[in-house]
Order: sequence, then C-alpha cells, then structure tokens
Amino acid sequence: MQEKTSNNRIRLVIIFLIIIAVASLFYFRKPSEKTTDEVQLIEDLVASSVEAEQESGNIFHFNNILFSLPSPYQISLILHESGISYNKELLNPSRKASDYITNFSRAINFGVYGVDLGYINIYQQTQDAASYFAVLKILSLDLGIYKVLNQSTVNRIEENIDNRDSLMVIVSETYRNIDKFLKTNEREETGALILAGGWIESVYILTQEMKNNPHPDLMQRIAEQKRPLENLIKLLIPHTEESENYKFLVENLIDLAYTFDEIVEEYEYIPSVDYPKKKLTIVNSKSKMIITPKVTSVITDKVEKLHTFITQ
Amino acid sequence: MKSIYIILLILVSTAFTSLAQDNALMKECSKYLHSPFVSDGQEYKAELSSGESAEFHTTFYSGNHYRIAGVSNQKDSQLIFTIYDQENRVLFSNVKYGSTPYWDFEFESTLNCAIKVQYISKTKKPGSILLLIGFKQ
Repeated sequence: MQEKTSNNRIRLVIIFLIIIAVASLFYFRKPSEKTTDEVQLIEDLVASSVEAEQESGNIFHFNNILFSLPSPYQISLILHESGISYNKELLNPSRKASDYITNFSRAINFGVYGVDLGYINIYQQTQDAASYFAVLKILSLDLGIYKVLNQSTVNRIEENIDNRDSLMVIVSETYRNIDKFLKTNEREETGALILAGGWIESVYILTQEMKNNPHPDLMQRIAEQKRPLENLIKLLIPHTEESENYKFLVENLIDLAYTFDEIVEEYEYIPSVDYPKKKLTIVNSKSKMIITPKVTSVITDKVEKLHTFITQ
Repeated sequence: MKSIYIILLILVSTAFTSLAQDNALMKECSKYLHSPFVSDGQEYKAELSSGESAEFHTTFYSGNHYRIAGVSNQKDSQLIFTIYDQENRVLFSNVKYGSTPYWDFEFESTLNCAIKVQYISKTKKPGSILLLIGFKQ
C-alpha cells in the first residue's frame, strides 16, 4: 500500500516537472525571425483585413476599459517648457504620507506623489526626489504593490535619481507594471484611484500656476483636460459604490465636468502627411478650445476643493 | 485526493503559462517602445478572435512626439491599427505600411482620438494583443 502511494507521488512529481518544462518552453522561447513565407503570409493577411472586418463587426474594449489617460508627466513637461519655475509649495508634503491609512487615501495619494516625483524630476530638483521616492516605497508596501516596485526597480530608480530622462522612463514603466499588476489581480478600483490622484494633482499644479502666472497658453492647456476628465470619470464610475469617499470623488469630478462642458471646441480636419521612411505621420488637423477666464477660475476652485479632499 | 493534486497542478501550470505569455508579449512590445520614449503608464490588452477589433479613446497633446506599438502572441497573425479623429475620419492606418508593429506621430494640435486595433489570424486562432503608447519631447 505504502509502495503504491510512493509510486503515485513519484508519478505526480514527474507530471508536475513535465508541465513546468512545457511552460518554461513558452516562457523562454525567442521571437522568431520572419521568413519569406511569413512575409508573404503577412501580406495576405493585410489583404484580407477588409474582408475580416466585414465578417466580424465585433468591437471589444481593452480590459473592459474603453478610455485611457495621457501620462500625467506631460503636464509637468508643459509647465517646464512654458518657462514656469519650480514651486515646491504646490506639492503634497511627503511628511503627510503617514496620515493616509485607508486603501482609498493610500491609492489616490500614490498617484499624487507619483506626479510630484515626476514634477521634481522634470525640474531636476534631486534634493527633493529622495523623500518623495521613499514615500512611494512606503505606500506601495501598504497597498500590496511592493512586489512590482521590487529591489531591482528600486535600485534602478535610486541609481538614476539625478538623470531626468532615465528616471522618467523607469518611473513610467513602473507605473505601467503597477497598472498591469492591479488589473491582473482584479484590483482595477485601486488602479483607477492611482490614475485619479495623478490627474487631480497634475491639473491642480497646472491651475495653480495659471493663477500665479496667467497666460493664454496655460488656459488652453487647462481646457484640453476636458476629454481626459471624461475618460477618468468613465474609469471610476464602475467602482462608485466601493466607499463613501469613492462616491464623493466621482460626484465632484462629474460636477467639474459640467464646468468643462462650458468650453467650446472648434475642430478643422486637415489631411495628415505620412513619412514612411521615418515611420512618422504628422497629424495636421487643428483643434481649439474656447475657454473664458471666468470658467478657468471656476475650474481652479473646483480642482482645489478636490485636491484638498484627497490630500487632507 | 489524487485528482485534487492533479487539478491543482493544472491550475498552477495554466497560471504560470499565462503569466509567461503575458511577459513574452510585454517583452516583444517593449522592443518597439524603449528609451527615450516614456510610457503613458498604462497597458492595453485584449483577447480577440480573428477579425475582431478592440478600441479605445485617448488624447494626444500637441508638441509631443508619440509612438504606438502593438503586438500579438500568435506568429501567423497581424495587427492593424487605425487612428480616427473626433469626426471619425481616418488619420492613419498601418495597413498601408505592411501592418508595421509601430509608428510615430506628431500632432499640430491637441486631439481626442479613437484607436481601433484589429486582430487577424490566418489560421483563425484567437490571440492576445497588447498595445503600448509612449511619448517623447
């Protein structure tokens, strides 16, 4: 009897090893080079594209999320390019991180501090970067996403803390990995909060700078947030019932969207020009947002209120 | 008891294989989206049957140089991505360029666009697709 059990165990171990070996083959396989046959196949596939489109009219949404947000780094880049100086007063103080004890406040402020680190990085204020990065490490532990921010990533970030471009690439990749980790682990509500925190913080910095240094270009950049805000609301809405805080956040974002609706959009289609050798297309279509100083002021106030709510 | 072990082993190996395939897809796509391009911090993944499309909407800012990269996990397949403006006019389609896995864009104005990605497999196998967006100054 014992011998039979032992044989069964050996058999199970062998099955397990075979499964692992097969799985490893998948894991370590190299992408193959394209042969002439494959090139021909691809050409055939492209030719059949229209036919396939007609056969299947199905449209699927990525991860059931139809909308995406531009990187919050871009707003910091816009401010830097506009010649606006670094203003540490606008950032959420790193010492406040220990006040965040709920999943809601930790996740949303992870997004806030991520944007702050990006802002610090773009302005190359390395003396401030270390404390903000330390806060992100602590919050990632609290949020159970430290696995993504593993030791090798931490080392890469620390080694590049004074290299603006490398740090921007590494931090953005890390955020993408966090986004993937949260989606894989069915924690989309946390991922959406991180995105919300990032968006609110970046628009808060933008609107405060507009208040301090009024400029038509900045006003235009604020107006351009109309569609990203709509996208953000669509990301958050499925999770509204998660908590009272979540509900309050969504309600206030919707209220903000009503103000953004007062902005008038003008659009003119102009054909794009392709540069195949450079694999580049210049999109010439023109879009303009007509926003008044009054609407800008209301948006600034509403964003400030939201910012106080999430960072308090 | 034995059957429970086997089920567990199958579940573990399935999860491992799926994770490995996800990582392979990300590695393949990242080949086209590396420094100096900065990721937008999100990944766009879908499981599609041949002929099906996935679609999402995003905003492209003027003054940035963008790259869109897309791959699938099936060797005999191709991804066709098309960018539409807010009036549903085609701004670009990689179908004109041998369905190249990546393409760069510069926008004269900030535009709200829809990106539709169609997956086509010669052998009609379903597949996973991954799309990444990056930008540089």
